[in-house]
Amino acid sequence: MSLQLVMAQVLLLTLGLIGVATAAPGDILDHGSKALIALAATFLVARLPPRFFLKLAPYFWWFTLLLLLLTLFLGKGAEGSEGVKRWLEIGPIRFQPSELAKLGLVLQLASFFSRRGVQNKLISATGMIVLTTLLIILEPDLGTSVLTFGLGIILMYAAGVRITNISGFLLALGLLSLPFANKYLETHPYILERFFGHVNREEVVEVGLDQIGKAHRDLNFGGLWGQGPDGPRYPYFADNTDLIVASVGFSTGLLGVTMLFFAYWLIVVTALQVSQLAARVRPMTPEIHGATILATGAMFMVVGQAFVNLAVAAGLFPVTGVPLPLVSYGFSSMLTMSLALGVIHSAMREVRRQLPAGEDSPDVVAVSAD
Amino acid sequence: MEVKIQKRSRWMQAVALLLFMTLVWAYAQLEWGVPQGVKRSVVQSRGPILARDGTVLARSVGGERVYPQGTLAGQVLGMMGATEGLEGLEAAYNRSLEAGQPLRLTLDPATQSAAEAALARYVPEHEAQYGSVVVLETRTGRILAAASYPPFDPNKWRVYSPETRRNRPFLDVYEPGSTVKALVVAAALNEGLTTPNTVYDTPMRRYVGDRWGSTIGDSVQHPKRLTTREILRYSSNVGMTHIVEHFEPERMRGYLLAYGFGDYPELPTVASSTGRLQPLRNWNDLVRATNAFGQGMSSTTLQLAAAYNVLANDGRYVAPRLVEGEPAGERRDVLNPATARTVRIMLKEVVQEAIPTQAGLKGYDLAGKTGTSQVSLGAQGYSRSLYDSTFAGIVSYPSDTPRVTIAVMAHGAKRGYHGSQLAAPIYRDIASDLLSRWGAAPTPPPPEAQDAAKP
Repeated sequence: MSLQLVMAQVLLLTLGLIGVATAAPGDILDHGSKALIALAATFLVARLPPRFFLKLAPYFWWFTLLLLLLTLFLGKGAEGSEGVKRWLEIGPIRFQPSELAKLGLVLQLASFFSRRGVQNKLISATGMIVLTTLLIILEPDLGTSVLTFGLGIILMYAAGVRITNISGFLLALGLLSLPFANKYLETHPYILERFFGHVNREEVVEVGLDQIGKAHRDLNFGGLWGQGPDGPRYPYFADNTDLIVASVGFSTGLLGVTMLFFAYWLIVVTALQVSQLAARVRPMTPEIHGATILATGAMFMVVGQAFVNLAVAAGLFPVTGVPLPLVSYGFSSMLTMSLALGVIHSAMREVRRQLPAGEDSPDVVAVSAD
Repeated sequence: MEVKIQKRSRWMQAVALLLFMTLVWAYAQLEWGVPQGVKRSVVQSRGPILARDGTVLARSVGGERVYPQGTLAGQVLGMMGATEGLEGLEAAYNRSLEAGQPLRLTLDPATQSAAEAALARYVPEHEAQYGSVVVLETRTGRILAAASYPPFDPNKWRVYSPETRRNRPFLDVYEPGSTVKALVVAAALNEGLTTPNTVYDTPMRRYVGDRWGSTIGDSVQHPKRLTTREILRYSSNVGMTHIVEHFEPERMRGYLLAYGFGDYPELPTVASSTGRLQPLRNWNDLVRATNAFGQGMSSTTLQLAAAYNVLANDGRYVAPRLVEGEPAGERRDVLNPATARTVRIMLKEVVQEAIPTQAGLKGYDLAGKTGTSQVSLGAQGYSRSLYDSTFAGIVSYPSDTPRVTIAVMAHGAKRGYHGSQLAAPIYRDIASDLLSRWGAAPTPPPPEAQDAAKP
């Protein structure tokens, strides 16, 4: 286990609890108990070795693809937007398969590159990325599919695929997708609306504030130290999910938001440390190679999405509708992200164990390798 | 391979650091209020408030609402809080201002400042508590000035009391007193119940009403017999009881309603209040008599000005308006044009004979009537020490061509509380300011008067 990773997770879950307490006080118990379950899931997954994930990966990936396919036919929209099918209901459980699919892609690519190396069969690797992304695009969920595609590219980069190969793949895919892009944008006009709504936001004179404006008002009211969860504020749409950072900022001020950034930064540092430590293990075994890819991929899954969400809330990106990992209200995202953290824990432990004797493991606090 | 992976992880860390710094920068701006790059465009686009001539009364500069004219028309404008208008026009027109639309008022900055200056000169001098003035453009009913005293600066609204923020000419309700006499005389003339030269027996005191009646008294010494003209000139309450003696309550109340008393003025969106008339079933001889001299009924300064505007407008009521571009309100004929002219001449005589220095300007056509009303304290009856000084008048230039109608009110003066001592000079000063701005030359007195003046 990596202590700084646990710290980051607990920080994020606590800040999320404060955010939910601010925006929807009725959901505190629900959110709190789910946060505990998520933490437990991280600890359980952390016990498994990377070898296990790499073996399980193809089955898990196919399973997530199957779920995505099912979503296309049986999926449900969220309240208010029934046209988009993103949710799957199995009995009492209701979740977004696209969240699991991202984790599936991380495992699958890590497994693939560790087994086959990074020089051959790149076509099949790109095929995996495109297939997963395509199924999410069809939901349609542009925000998540862009993130998933980015995840695939980062995984290739982290695995050590040559830059020329990656850019060749991007170029070819870009040319191939041009005819489809037009059709897609025509079928789903909301995408262009959102993009140009963002670009022209300053010029569009609206009566009152839009959603982002309200979030900014909350942040502004929060100030440096925050007003606490009981401070007087106006509720608005998605203040406990996609825009939860505004509620956190309102309650805890810039202090709390900085802690949020710090927690994500800890995740980045820990995951990249796996790669840097792995470089000392020579020669690098396939398992260690897979572990570094797993760690980087899981990190990007969490932090990439967090960055997009935070940039949207800050008004830098157009509205995409991705939740803030481990903070937002909503269990399917929180659980998947916790599993991803568990994967980083597992990779870290494996790399530490394989380190040559005499090398110390740089962590804030010394912890046992097992 | 190992080196490659290590290098790449370093690169990713550097990029991630850059992205995180961007986020920290953006959020620090949002929450810290340091110079803005990620903009908070909350009040940037709020529309300005303009006077009739385009003078900017309120505008947004860099997200801050500023009122460049300071206290000018402060109570009318109200103020803007952090995100929306809190009072006055800022609150009333919040939606359209938020949408970036400019709001153009009928207010004339020069008239407004003349009215505020006159209030500021006389109200403290007489140790009064507060005062209000309305100036209407006669033909159109445009509100040229709506002034309150003490002044209020919306730039620094937090340091003022809610009392000071009050837009008094539209909101304060009081009994208008003797100013109503001219309106009732006009109604009686219109009904043929009296003529300007009808003579009445007017003792200083008279008992009115039968069982529940009361004794009406006069405060100004006057002869035992008065004509209708002289009743206005001496402001005789007893005389008024004679004039309305045969006025049917229903008709008389109908006239007061037609003058605009007892009903909200037709000002869309703007907050205003209304005085009251007693319901018809309460009208007996005593109520009729007291209404004839403006007690037992109430009005705002705006309503008083609109009612006098009927006299100025040859008998036609024109609803007052404050915002340019909004549809004009109702117009209705209340009096015959001839009656209105007759009463104007009577009011001119009142100024020239009774209060030539307080309300008159030599060589100019000023007409008006004073009022000094007792202030009702609710259940405890009327106060013996608290008075409302009122004045309502018309400024004509050239002679017999009414241009503006002015109503003045000052509350709770401790020294010289009579309408003729406090409200009349305010009217005179505003009139003199307006006349000099119009470049109006005084009319020379008629030749026989000149001859008489020579030794």
